[in-house]
Amino acid sequence: MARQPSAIVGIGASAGGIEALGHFFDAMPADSGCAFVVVLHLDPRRESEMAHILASRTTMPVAQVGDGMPIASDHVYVIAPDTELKIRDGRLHVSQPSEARGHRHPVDVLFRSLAADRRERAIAIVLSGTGSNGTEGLKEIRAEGGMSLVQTPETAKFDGMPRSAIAANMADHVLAPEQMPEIVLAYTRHGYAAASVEVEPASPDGEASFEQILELLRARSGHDFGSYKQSTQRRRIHRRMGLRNIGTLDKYVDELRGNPHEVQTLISDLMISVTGFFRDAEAWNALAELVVGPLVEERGSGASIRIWVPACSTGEEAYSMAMLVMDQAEAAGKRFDLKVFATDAQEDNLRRARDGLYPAAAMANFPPERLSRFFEKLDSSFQVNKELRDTVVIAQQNLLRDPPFSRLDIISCRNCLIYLQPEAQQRIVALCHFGLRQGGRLFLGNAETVGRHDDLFETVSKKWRIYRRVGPTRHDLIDYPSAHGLAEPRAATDDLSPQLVEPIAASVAETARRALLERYAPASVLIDRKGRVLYFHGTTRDYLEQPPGEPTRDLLTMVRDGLALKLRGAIREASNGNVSVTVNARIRQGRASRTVAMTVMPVSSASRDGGFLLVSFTPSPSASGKPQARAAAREDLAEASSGEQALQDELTSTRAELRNTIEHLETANEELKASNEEATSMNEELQSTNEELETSKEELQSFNEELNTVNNQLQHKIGELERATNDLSNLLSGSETATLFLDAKFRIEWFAPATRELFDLVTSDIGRPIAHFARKFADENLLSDAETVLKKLTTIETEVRSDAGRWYLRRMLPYRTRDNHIAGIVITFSDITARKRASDAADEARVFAEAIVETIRQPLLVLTGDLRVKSANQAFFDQFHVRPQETTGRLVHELGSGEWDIPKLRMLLDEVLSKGQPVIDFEVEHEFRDLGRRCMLVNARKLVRDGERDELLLLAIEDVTERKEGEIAIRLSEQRLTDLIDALPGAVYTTDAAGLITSYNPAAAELWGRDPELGSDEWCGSWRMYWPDGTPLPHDECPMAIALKENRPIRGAEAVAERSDGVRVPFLAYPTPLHNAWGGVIGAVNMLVDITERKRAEALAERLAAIVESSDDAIISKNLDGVIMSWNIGATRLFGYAPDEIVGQSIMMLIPPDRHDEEVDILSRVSRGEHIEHYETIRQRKDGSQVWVSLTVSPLKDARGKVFGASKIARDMTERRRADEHRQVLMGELNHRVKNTLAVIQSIASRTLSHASTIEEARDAFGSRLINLAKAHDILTRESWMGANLAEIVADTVKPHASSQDRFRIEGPDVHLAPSAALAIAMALHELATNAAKYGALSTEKGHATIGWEVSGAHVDRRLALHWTESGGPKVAPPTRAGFGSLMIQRVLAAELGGEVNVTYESSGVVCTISAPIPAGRDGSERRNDLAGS
Amino acid sequence: MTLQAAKRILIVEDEILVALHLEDVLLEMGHHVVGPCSRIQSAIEVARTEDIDFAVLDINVAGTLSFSVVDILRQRSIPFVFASGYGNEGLTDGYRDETVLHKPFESRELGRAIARAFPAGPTVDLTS
Repeated sequence: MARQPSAIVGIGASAGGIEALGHFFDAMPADSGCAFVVVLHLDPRRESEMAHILASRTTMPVAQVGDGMPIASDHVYVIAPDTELKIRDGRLHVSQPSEARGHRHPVDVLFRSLAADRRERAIAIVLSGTGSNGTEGLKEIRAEGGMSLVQTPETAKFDGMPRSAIAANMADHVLAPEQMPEIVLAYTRHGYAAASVEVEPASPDGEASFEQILELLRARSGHDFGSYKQSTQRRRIHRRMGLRNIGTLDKYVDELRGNPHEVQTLISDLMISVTGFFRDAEAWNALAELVVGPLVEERGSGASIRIWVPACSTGEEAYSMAMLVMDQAEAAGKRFDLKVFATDAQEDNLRRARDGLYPAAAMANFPPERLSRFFEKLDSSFQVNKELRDTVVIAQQNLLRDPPFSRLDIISCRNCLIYLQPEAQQRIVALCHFGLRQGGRLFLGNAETVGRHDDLFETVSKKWRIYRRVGPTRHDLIDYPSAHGLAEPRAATDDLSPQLVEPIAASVAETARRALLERYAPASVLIDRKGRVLYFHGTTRDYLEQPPGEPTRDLLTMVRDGLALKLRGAIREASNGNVSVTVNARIRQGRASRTVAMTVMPVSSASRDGGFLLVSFTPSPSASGKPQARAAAREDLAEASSGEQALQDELTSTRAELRNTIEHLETANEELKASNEEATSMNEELQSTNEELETSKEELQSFNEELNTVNNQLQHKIGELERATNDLSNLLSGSETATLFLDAKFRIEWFAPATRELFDLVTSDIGRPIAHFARKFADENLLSDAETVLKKLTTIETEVRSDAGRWYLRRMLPYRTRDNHIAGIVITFSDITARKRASDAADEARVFAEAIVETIRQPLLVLTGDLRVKSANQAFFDQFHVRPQETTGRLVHELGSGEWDIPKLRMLLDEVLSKGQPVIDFEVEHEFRDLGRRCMLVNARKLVRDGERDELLLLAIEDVTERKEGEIAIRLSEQRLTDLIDALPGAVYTTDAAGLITSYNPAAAELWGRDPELGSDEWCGSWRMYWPDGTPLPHDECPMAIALKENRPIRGAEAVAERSDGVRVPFLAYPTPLHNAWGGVIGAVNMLVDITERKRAEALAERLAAIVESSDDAIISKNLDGVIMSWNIGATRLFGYAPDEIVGQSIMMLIPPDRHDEEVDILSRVSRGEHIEHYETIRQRKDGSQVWVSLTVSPLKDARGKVFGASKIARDMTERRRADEHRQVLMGELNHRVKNTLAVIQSIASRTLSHASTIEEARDAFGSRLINLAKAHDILTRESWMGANLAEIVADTVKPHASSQDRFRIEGPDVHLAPSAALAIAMALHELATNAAKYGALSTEKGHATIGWEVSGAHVDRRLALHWTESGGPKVAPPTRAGFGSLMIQRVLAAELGGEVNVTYESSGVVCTISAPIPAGRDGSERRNDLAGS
Repeated sequence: MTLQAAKRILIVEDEILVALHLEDVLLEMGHHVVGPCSRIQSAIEVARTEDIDFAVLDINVAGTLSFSVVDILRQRSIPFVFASGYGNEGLTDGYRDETVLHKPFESRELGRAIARAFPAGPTVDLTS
């Protein structure tokens, strides 16, 4: 037994709803305890797959709804197509839609029923969809205390439905579908929905909180909900807590304090009312008939009609009212100044009322003319048109607080009172009474009554709650609300301090009247005929007193003791007689008493009840003073008869009895009130039930209408079906295919005309078993096949041959109805004769082709269009060592180990397929699993098959591996040969047998200096040829020509080629004839060796050898062991050894023993590759003498640069060394001589200076002596200081003194003097000449001097005698003192010459005789000694 | 001017003019001149026989080195100086430490050389 669900979640969706539903159920746990009822707009003609779709999104069981299905928790129910779904008593009720298609609102229908059935446990969800479906339903859900969720328009695929619901302010939560489950769960777990009990104040605190909420609302918004029914309030507050998931009132109070929005929401929730256009249609009909109709009739055109719709909510009722009146007025041909006042306390509601925009569902029951008369369509909604809108005045007014409108014809205050406390209800009824003009009508909801105020209203229709105002205007009844309302702040403020507001200013006249009344009129009360006080005037407290207990308006119970009796009588009297009656009575107050005069005066009234009575109280004059009092007392006493006391006593007891009775009455009254309360609440419930019933009725009506529509559609469909049947039978008849329908017992159901060729059938045969008919074809399996088909529900095809020789394809298949029921079988016969024949021909061709394929030795493959192997021949299997089963059906590139997976091949094959181009000799090389690397030629061709879609490819494979390998080997070997020849440095060329050049290598072209013309140049590619001796060599006589002509190889014939640039290249030719296998000459090959370099090298070597041999230097080569390898003539000259003596010997033979280390060093340096430059040392000759040599040693390197020996060049340095020494000596000598000369000069200077008498003299003498000395030096220098010729000395010395040529006579033989002697003589002669010029012969013009010398003796005894003889001069005397001159002559000259000097002063002049030895043989050979010794 | 006591000084010089000049200088100093010898042979003779206090010798005298004269002087412990155009280079081993006057030299140099040879000898005052 499934659990009762904690709540039922109704989900409405339309377009785009499946996705949203998916999201919702994805997030919804399967154990929520809720039941889900999903309503979608489904195509009424199709089976719904919704249940399957949803089943995939949730683990809960999903079922399509069947009527009467109980609702279990954790189940999902989906509406069936073309139905309306409602919930009643926990069961699902499926019904036909009440409205025509396109006007249905199944979601609204569901929500309404859900709200009624589950109240606060109803959760309604509006998901994606177009239109406004659901919005109206949500109103009910909320009114009944359930929760409404709406998908956020942004997440909805179609946002029409969500937006409509949000615009109507019907969404408790606006959420994405996936967020909804959380809220649903929170709500169902909350005490509000879970326990479904009202929040009873469990503690005084709770009570306080509840009061706090009301207080808070009053403070924040100015709305006083004190007069609302507490039960309703609690339920609504609790609902808010449920929606907000708040657990306790205290927390909710906190929430309200912090969240102004919640305050507004709560207020609007508390004021929730369900309204609609013409809600309770019958009530409206009654209103139209009983109120509006007469009103329209009664009023003239142009009159004003004022209607008030308080608590109008979103205005539907006000507009309904206006429409009603306008309709009626138009029907009556009148126009009124219609004003409908629509008021409500909530601005939100009013805003929507002003907009006048309502979802289509709101006016579902409108006759179209009304809709078009008053509304304009906007999308899925309708908006009130301007005319209607203008008649409705919309204003904010709180019925409980604000003053009413007045002079109204109709007040429609429906479904407002039921939410209020009785007191508030009464107040509003009074207010309505006030507002209505006399005779105006009050229209209440069908659960409401005027209650206690039956005195104010007269019932017009009890059933439809229409009342008429009666009685005078009762200001007393509306004072309170007015004053209270004014005392309240209008806006939501926190200021609760009572504020005195100026009463509404009365007119001046009224003010005056009131003042007068206050001043002069006695205290009075106005009562009706029943004694109820209607109005108090003046100070009545002296006379009236409210008794304890419930307040009362009964005057007689209010009057003070002692007045009642008299007053009652007076009232009776005045009322009956319609006269004014005055009585006196005494008021007893304790022991004191005073007299009061009471006047009862009937007052005429407009009311039909007839009049009121005015009771005035005046203190009796007697009571104010003693006399009067006494008089009154007397009067009293006088009145008191003897029996009076008894009467008094009786009266007292009666009064006590009366009091008892009254008490009883009051108790009974209390009870009555309580039962009344009960009855009222019961009534209320009954009323709501009634409302529901009304709704159900409406819905039933709409179902009905929808059914009609469906019926129409059905008829239309039948028409369509008929046409389809016709089409189908035409099709079948027209087709050549013989078709036969059999039922489950194989009775003919229907057959196509073509069937007659196979069976003898006529139309009347329908219904007869097919087995009864003879067949015109061979088919023994027909019946058994039919049974198989029926049993296994498969299709059977077979080919049958008719007696006429035609072939048919018989297909047999089960006959399925639309709901998949097997109702029999269908047999078709297609004529395939032509196809059969073609196929046979094809088979033959195939066999033929296959035979060819199998026979051929080349591997062949047939491929399908997707390159799968269709077949392969035996050659293929043999060639590739594969088995047929691992080949056939596989893709060609998957064959074997993928060796055919060649992109290029695949591309080509694709091209073959697409363009029909055959592949010819495509080469494939691949490593085959068993065969190794093979080379294949592939040929492919498309097999053209007309009209066939699957193309075939023929693939022929040829293994060309061996052939290819052979070719490659040959090519390789040829290539190697060509490469070899090309790489050869030697020139190689070939000719054919005729001598025409067929090939040549680059070296040949280089040697020739030209590229010969292949095929035309003969014998040799060179320009011109010569014999080695330079004579021209004709080409046809060249070695190649000879070799070919004589058919013999020639080895190394020398010739010279001349290049085009004139360069001649000597070469050796090696021509060899080539033979074929049979010995015939097929050509020749020739190799030419360029010997230019060799020739050049030979010449160079000869030249070098000549140089070495002719060199003066010793040029020796030795190896690294110091062994001499070559020896030139220079070496022989320097060292004395002949080559044959020394070659092969050690170099050490040339080195003095003390210098052997030197050679070791030289060898080690040379072996390191060093070159030794000009190294001076001593070497030893063959004769043992030593010689200075300068050595240059260079390493000898072989071709690889490795040192294998040294060449040594030695030069004789003896002469050079000698010259150097000489130079040294000369330098020393020069220095010595200069110093000596300077010492001489020093001596001359010293002597000259010490002997001179004046400076001038000294200067002249010194100068001339120095010049003389210099001249002597000149001579010596001329002679290289080897001595001087005496004649020269003499001539040079006297020249400065010889003024004329003949002054001196110089005579003597050639005599060579040593340098010192020459100097001494020169100096002595100078002194003599100087002296002669000063004092002697030369001082006169005629004097002259003779210088003569002679040599005597020979060899060692040779002597020189020189004479200086002056003559012709003045007479001379010997000098008085010996000057420098005499010193020079006598001492120096003598000493130098080692001889004698004699000076005499003859009278003829000075004579000086010099005699000195000059040993012979000193002239030449003595030169060296002379130099060394001087 | 204070001069040393007159000495007998041998001059060995082959250049007559230089010898004469040397003679003049020595005489001027108040010394007596022995020689001058212009040949080694005569110089050896003089050096061996004559009474000499001091000697001034040319190294190369007419082609012959004067060391044989010096040897004699050393034997006789007669101080001497060389006067040479060669400078010190002209001296051979054994004579390198001797005083050499470089020609041409000033008379003062000669005087100082003589004074060094006779440090504490009696002096002759020529001015007196």
